[in-house]
Amino acid sequence: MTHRRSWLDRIAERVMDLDSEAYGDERERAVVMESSSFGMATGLYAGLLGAVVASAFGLVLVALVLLVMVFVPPVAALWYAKRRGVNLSELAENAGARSTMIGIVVSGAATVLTFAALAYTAFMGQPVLPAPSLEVTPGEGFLGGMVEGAVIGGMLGGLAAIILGVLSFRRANRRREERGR
Amino acid sequence: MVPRKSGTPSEGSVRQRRKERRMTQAELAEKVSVSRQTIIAVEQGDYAPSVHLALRIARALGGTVEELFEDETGEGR
Repeated sequence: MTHRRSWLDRIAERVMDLDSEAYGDERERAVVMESSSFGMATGLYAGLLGAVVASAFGLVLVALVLLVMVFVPPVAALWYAKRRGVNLSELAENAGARSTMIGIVVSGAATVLTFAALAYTAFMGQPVLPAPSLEVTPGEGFLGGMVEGAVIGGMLGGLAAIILGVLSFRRANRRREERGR
Repeated sequence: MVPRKSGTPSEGSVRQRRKERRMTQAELAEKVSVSRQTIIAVEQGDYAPSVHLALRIARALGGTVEELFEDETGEGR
């Protein structure tokens, strides 16, 4: 367990909000945690794949940002567990699980491939795969109109998600208060 | 990890006792403050409840944890 709560611990507690009813009962809570781990693993592999593809097309910054972002969740998980007296790396090593080995090999291979493609771009002056040329001027023509629509739609969608989320939260609170009466 | 199968209720004992008391799964779920899905999972042996939940279920059904949660070999846990 943590000995002294740092500001990071306080932020983590706020983010996790472990006392929230959103986690459900004990079985539901276990499933929420499992599914979150599954989501993290899926995100990690999707991010690695994205990094490899981006590097193949010579998108250096995108590939590097993806690679960095992909390792943030597992590093955060390692830190969170360590603050609670659990060493995830040691557990994985001692278990010798095949799934752990596969994860390590896949992550390593994806990282190597990404940097290999970036090295090719750096030394040869061109990407491994030529990116299809697509010139789009926002506001001009069909594609330009689509781009403008997409960015405005994205903003409106985000706003709608916030508004609907807040309304749903208030509705749930009202229902909980009525049940409590 | 969601505890499964090991040390789960002997087939039918929670369900049997619940039916003897003419209680629905929803009523039992409400009594022990869990969802109906969790009661279903407990009865089907797909979920092994924590000690606290097992005690609450036993109390709600008027039995003991040992009676309700024997493992499949028939040994008390």
